[in-house]
Amino acid sequence: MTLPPALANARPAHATLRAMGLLALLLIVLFVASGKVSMQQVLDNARQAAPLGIIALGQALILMMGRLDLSVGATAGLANVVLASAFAGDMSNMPLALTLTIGLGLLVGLCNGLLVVTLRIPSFLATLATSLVLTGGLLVYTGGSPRGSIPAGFRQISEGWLFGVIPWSVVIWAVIGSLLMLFVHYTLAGRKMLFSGANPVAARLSGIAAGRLVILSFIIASLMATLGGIMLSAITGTASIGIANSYTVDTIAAVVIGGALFSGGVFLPAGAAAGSLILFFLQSLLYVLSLPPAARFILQGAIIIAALALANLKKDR
Amino acid sequence: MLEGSFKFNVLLTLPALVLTILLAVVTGALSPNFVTETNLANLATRLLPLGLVALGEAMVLFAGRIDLSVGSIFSLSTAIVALTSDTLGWYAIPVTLVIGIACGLFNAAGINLFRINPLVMGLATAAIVKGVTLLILPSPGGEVNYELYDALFGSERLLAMPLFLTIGAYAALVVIMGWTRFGRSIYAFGSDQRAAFVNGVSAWKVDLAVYGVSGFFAAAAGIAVSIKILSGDPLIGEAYTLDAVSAAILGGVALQGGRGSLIGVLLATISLVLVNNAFNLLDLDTNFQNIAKGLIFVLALVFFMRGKAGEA
Repeated sequence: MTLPPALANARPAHATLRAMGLLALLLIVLFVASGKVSMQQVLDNARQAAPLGIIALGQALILMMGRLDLSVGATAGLANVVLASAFAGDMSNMPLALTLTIGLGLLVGLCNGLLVVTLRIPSFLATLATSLVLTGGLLVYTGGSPRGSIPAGFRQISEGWLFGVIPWSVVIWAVIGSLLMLFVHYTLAGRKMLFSGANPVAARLSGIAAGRLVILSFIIASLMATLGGIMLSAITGTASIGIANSYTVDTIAAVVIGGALFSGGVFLPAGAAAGSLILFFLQSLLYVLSLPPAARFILQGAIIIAALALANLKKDR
Repeated sequence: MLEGSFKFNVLLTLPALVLTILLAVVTGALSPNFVTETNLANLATRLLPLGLVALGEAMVLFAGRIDLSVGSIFSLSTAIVALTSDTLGWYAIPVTLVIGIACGLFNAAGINLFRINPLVMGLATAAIVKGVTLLILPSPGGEVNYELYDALFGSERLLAMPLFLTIGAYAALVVIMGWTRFGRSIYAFGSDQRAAFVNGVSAWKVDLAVYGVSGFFAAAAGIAVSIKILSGDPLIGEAYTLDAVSAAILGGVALQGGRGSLIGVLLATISLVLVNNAFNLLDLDTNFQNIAKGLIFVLALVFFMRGKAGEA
């Protein structure tokens, strides 16, 4: 209590440290299993985990507000299909493609926010309905076979390495995460959000218009999902339907590993990042052990249960 | 106080009733094929799985919980039936039902043992069950004993097994929910957990019961569909989760628990099946079906949830 709040916020939370410890442990296991220590390989994995990580940042913000966004997977899938079809493999279409994709993403977020705040629909149902409409809309738009592709120039954001040392996608991920952290802890709107997520009643009594902040959080989450979808498109280079569906549950698992609470009021972007990496490394481990792809779903569910069970048992003591 | 009275429950079922009649009249007027014995039998066949899943989901919602794993349990059941009905024959059905119940109990255990948010527990269970399903049946296939098909769907008439089973299941649970101490305790637990606890209702018992029932019906619905399509499909149930919640909400079941009637749920299920049927009969682009269902869901939520600030 003696630390000024700004400094207290800057200190990593225990949950974040736990997640990072787990990540380190996992890395050691991976190194031992593969028999060599390769930073290159770790960074390459991180490069591929960036879409998940960016989307998880948005989910972390939503959980901070005590809500849940079950439409992030569908939104990322929307971004993938729209981006590829607007690009049509031609780099000169970039301004149009990016504007259209991000604009649509913001619109999805606005819809989610309005459904939750104005129409007072519980967030998980509202976003579930949104994802149903988005999935249906994509099928109508593409007729089931999406077209277009991402030009090689744009794919550099995921294929390229800054100074040949660190992948661009990791840089983008880190920058977005830092910006969100600064937004939440050092701007008035962000701190109001944190407060109203931690204690909605107290926030309302203090005159904070939580409704608008909730809408804003859904817009940011959809923006993150869209950016994640764009990063994913840069990795795959093509459009495919349902490619991002698993992200919905994956992001929940990632932020829960990173210490997020469903009661809201906790925002740990570093924890969410560690959680995303853990999830991704576990999946590569499954791949290395040549387990069937189905095992990842079991892992996903088991991780969510284990992380929440640990957090809740600890709280009981 | 109107809430909970018989009149109030009738009021709750009105939107679903109106929607059902509207859809039936419009489809009937636009398509000569609507009121034919074949189509009505087809409707009953489609009503059976969704009706059963929605029934289980409604039971969970009565208790103020939610079960988002029904779709996965549904898929798992189709896989189990498709893989075992050749060797086990009729015994495949009870085996599958028991596995469905076990999945439900797993939900209840996670919620009560580890205090996991029911919503998230459902998502986690759904992921695990989906993984298991994909392990035992990676792609649609398997084979279902034809004898089962004959027994369940052999007669192409309206008044046949599918309709009888649906009505039987609803009738049994209407009796249990309305006239037994146990049914009342589920409503009581849903409307006020603390008050129910103080009056001797155990959360463990209620959760085990409602999630067990929900798993049972999800499995039963999966069995029906696998018999209908004579094979298993590891992903066929995905859409049923939202449809089931949608049907329950449209039927007037409160997400906060403690309110709703099964008659409303049955009517809402019928109207959702009619939406599908209308798309088929009127030759509309089936891709619009998801959008239409999503909009109905949102409208139902807006209609019933307005003014309630309950947030999961």
